[in-house]
Parts: sequence; structure tokens; C-alpha cells
Amino acid sequence: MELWISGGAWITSEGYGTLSEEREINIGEGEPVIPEAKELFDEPLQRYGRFDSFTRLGCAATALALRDADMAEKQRKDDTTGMIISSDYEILNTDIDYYETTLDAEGAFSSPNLFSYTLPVIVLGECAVYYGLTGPTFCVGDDALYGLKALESAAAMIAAGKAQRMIVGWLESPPERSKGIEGEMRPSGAVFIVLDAIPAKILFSKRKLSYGNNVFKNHKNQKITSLMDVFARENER
Amino acid sequence: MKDVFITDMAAISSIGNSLEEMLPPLYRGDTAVDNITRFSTEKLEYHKGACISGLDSNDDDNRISELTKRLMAHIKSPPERTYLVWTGIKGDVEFIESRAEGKAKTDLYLAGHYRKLVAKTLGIEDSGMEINAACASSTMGLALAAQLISSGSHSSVLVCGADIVSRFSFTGFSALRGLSATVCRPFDKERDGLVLGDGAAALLLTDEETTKKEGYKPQARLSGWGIANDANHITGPARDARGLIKAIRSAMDQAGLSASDVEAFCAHGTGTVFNDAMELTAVESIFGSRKFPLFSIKGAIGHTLGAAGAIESALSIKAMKKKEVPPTTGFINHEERTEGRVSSRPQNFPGKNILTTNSGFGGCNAALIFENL
Repeated sequence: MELWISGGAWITSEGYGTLSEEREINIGEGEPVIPEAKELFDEPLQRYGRFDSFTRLGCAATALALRDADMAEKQRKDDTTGMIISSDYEILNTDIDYYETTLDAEGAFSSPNLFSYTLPVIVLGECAVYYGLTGPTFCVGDDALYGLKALESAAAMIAAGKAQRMIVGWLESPPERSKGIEGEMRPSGAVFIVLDAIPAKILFSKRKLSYGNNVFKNHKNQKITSLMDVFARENER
Repeated sequence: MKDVFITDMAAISSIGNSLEEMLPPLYRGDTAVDNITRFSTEKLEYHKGACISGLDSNDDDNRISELTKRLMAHIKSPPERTYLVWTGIKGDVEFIESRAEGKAKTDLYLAGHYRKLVAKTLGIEDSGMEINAACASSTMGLALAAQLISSGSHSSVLVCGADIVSRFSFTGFSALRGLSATVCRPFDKERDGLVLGDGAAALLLTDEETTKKEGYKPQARLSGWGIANDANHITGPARDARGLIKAIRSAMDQAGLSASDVEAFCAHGTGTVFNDAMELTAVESIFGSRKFPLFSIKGAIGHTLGAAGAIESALSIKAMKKKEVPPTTGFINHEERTEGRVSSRPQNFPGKNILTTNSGFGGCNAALIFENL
């Protein structure tokens, strides 16, 4: 099976960039540098500035990836696009914040707004509403494989004919240290690509992925083991 | 593409500690909905839940782990290289609750924790993933599993999930005013909200070669699935049911069924005003005025969140075998669109196929079609 990468984007503590820019991704310690709304959206995305870090990071990476694929506007009425992201911490920060609101008066003043955001699929819902995505949308966990399971699942949706295009992402926003969670935390950031069944624009062959026997390979026949690899291998000269 | 068979299944809920135990009370129209004693609801407006009696956390593990271990006792040993898909959606709530109360003594459970527990309990290789699609999680897990088998990527996939009535979820749905203060009445004209329930289910999907090799007796074929997003609202269903309609049509197309072929429909049927209205809109859009059995089991066992789709799939397959769908417990008053479809009594049907769907926050919708063998 052949798939095409129409665009991609990343956001880390060192900044943000796109696949077309062919810059190396470095996922370091610290909070990701999330772009302002005016850099991402032609029409306002309601509540973007008030989103939790997970949702804001996911919406920003989606916007950058779609723009890199020249689809930010064209996408809006498209009926064939889905979105799958992988995350192991999911939306734990918001879970903790929400639960704090339940502790007074035995839960009588729990926050309905925060509770609504205690599912990782909410970021998919926000993107679906904004971009008109009506294809398959779900989140996966993948044991720190940086999006590989999301990529496999997206390929499965395309192979089944349930979508022509999938936005695929790795998205993590681990609990803040101030929340007192112990143990080693994985880095925070987002790496997203736009995966197409057929190339949506003229693409060089190096934007092609092959998938067979549960293995992804790039145009150089190199094995892809994460979404980071898609960018790293792409940038190899 | 390869055929996908359901070759083993198990479920536990508040009305039975096994799939077989669940059937008699379900078909009698019993309900497990009762006052919650697991945590205080004194200062809330809502007090009802469908909890499994005796399901407690202990020093060794939490309720979801305990429920998962109980569930695995009902699954025959799957093939060694079975791919695991875990679909519970709130595995971290007990950790968060304990931490807030200053009692947390276990490590944080990340998404993979329960999948690893399943692998360890069954003694099989730990390979697989988790799916979180809100209340459609296990439905989508089954859909993905079907594709992994039909495409030849895997020969056997075990989809399982468990969720519980937690203080976290209860206070949240209470704050959203989504709960019923009395009983869950799916599709009833006077319905006023959902009731949460404990529940877990697991289904083993295999290809034909594995089915024969392992000597399994296939119970049904998963012949079609569809997944679609409403692209409408992050928590509320689309009034025009666009996502659910798309998911159902996709499943029917794949199964090669027309609207007149679908014999019965196990709906999400949460008992909330808007969800059930949305589902009835989808039924009218796809099936027109055609009358056929439409039911929900949530009046009996409550809404089991991520596990709901798997439990309902297992019970739908049992319904095909019986050629009879269970009653919609709690249902009393018809509206025009439920006439000739929803009943408080069991309804006969030919038992050749059944449609089951779930929808959830984030605009998620998923539909599955099972065929009897």
C-alpha cells in the first residue's frame, strides 16, 4: 500500500516548524512554544486562548500541518478526512484540574467546562468542528512510540476506504511538576502529518510511504518507527 | 479481504458477573440502578448508579484492575500472538481521586497499563494499543480490529475495556446536568438523563484460518463498520444526526445490506433528551417509516462509558442467537418515532443480522453490523 505525506508540522520547546521547511526536530525539556492564534487561523477558533495545553497544542499542530499541505482553507468542506492522534498521558493535566473543582462542597460546584475537556478526543472534536472533518476520529495510546500506532491506525482507515485523508499526530502534554506527580516525565510536544491516499498536490516521490507487513518504509526503503522518523528521514540529504 | 469472526466473548456488569448471568435479568427487564454508596452524593442533585456489588479497590489494585481480572477469567486462552486493543477511557480516575485525597500509593497508570495487565493475566505477548473515543471507544476498537484482521495485518485481536462509576465521572456528568435523578429511560418521551454503570467486556476476533486452527466455534461475523465525526459540537450530538447517519451507512455498505435488510438495532440509547432524539433522527433518515426492533440496554446496566460498545456487541450477538432482542428497561411512554420500534418487552426478529452503534463526546460515532452464522 502506498500513502502520501502532503504536509506536516511540529511544536516543541525549541519552537515550531513544518515538513516543508526541512528543519530538524529537537524535543527537549520544557514547555512547547505554541504559536498565537493569529499565526494559525484565518477565522477565529473560539476559546483557543483558553484551551488547556493539550488541546491548544493539538489544534495548533493541526493548523500548521494543514497549512503546510495547502489545505487549511480547502479542507473546510471536505467530507473525507479523519484524524487520529497518539498520546500516553492523554489529558491528565485537565483531569487533575477538573478533580480539584470537585473537592469543595462534596462536588456540588464541579466545573462542567473543565469536565468537558477531560477526554483526549475533545481536541479532535475542536479540529473537526473548525475544519469540517467528518472522517474517523479517535485517540490511541502507543507506549512512547511517538505516533507510530496513530500512523498504523490511519493507514488502516485509508486501506478500508473509510477516509481519503488522515491527519495523524503524536501529542503529549504531561502533568506539570507543580501538580506533584512523581516519576520521570516524557517530553511535551506535537508532531503531526497529513496522510493522503492519493497525492492532493504535486509531490516529490520522497513524500511517499509504503506500508506492508505492519512496517512503514520511506522512499529510500528505510523503516519508519515514529512520526519523528518521517521528518528526520525526509530531511536526510 | 478476509472474513472477521467473533470467536470468544465475555462481559460483566451490574446485572451479572458473566455474559450468561446477564441474560435472564436483562430479558426480564430488571435494572441494577440503585442509590450509590461508593462515594457521597449527599450534596448533589443525583444519587443513582448501576454499580457491581462487591467491586472494591484494595491495597493491591484499583476497581478497574479488579474488574479486568474478573473479566479475563471468562476468556479462553487466545492465540499467543493475539493483538490487544484496550478501550476503557478513564483508567486514571482512581489514581487522581486517591491523590486528591492524599491516599495515592501507586504509580500513575498511563494508557498502556491495562493492556499490559490483560496480557499478563492471559499469559500472552504484550502487543497492541489503546483506543480512546469517549463512549464509542470499544465500538471503534472493534472496528479497527476488524480492519486489522480483514487486511491480513493480524490473525487474532482481543478487544477489551472496562470503566466504572467513579466520583470523577459522576460529579462531571452531574455538573453537565446529564444524569437522571430517577431511573434511566432510553427513548421514553419523559426521559431525563443517563445513569452511569460499572461494566467490562472482551471480544476475540479471528480470521478463518485461526478460527479453524484453534478449533473455535465462530459466534458471528463482523461484516461491516463505520466511523464518522459530527463536526458539530464537542459535547453535544448533532441534531441532524449527520455523523451517526454516515457511520451507519458506511457499515451497511461494507456489509452489503440495504435499509430493508437490517433486522434489529441496538442503539446507544443513553436516556438523555438529545442523544436519543439524535438517534431517532438517524433511524428515520436511513430506515424511513420502517418498523423494526430498536432497543437500549442502558436502563438495565447504566452507561458503561468506554466498555458500552463491547458489552452491547456481545449482547447483540446473543440476541441474534435467541432471535429476540431484550426489552428497553425503563421505557414506558412512546413518542411517534418509537412506535413499533421500542418496547419494554423482548421483541422477536429473524436473527440474521443486527446493527449496533455508539456515540460520544468529541463528535464520535461508530456503527457495527454483526451477521449470524
